[in-house]
Amino acid sequence: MEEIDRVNEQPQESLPAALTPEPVDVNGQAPAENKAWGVAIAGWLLPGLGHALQRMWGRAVVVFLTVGLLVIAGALMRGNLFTARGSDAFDALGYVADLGTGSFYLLARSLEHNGADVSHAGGDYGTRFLATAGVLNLLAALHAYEAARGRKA
Amino acid sequence: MSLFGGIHFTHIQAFLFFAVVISVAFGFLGRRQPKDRVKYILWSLFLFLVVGIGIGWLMYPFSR
Repeated sequence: MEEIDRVNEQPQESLPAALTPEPVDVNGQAPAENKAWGVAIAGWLLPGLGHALQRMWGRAVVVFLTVGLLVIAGALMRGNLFTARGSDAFDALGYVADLGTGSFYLLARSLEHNGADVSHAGGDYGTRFLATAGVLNLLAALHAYEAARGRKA
Repeated sequence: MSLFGGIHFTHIQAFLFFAVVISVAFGFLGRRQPKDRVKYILWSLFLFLVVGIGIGWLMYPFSR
């Protein structure tokens, strides 16, 4: 019992970093956690912004360009850009993937003024490019989130 | 290839475009140092090409 009391009396500075509690704000959440969520949402809305906010310029530019290139190529190849009015589970999954591009979803819609045409291979590839752009951007937003939390990234 | 009237890639062009873009993105997200990034990008691109072309050849006997 005495030993337990001695441990409890130790000053907090001597505890390993993993055991020290993070500072908590009025909502009961760590400020770093709130910042990380903000970074992730910013990164989703505008590809690369999550990294730019953390001054990771190289990653920010590459995410912006790669997601942008895939979206532009996919839309100009007349890939299928899914909407919320899908009829089955695959349409819903496609919509989630396409929404992953954030604001670039609107860019793709504006570029596809003739609508999708998946009757040829190019249109089918375009569909994959659009979905890949969305999933890639979600991966980048997750990466930015982890970096904002201080995880090795 | 007219840009805003739409673009047309051949199969191999679409494949190469996809492989290069994704490899660059993975390299920058997955590695920190420039030298490590270049190595990762080249390795990823190599694997994309080998696996893609390999699967293409594996399907060849069933194409006719």
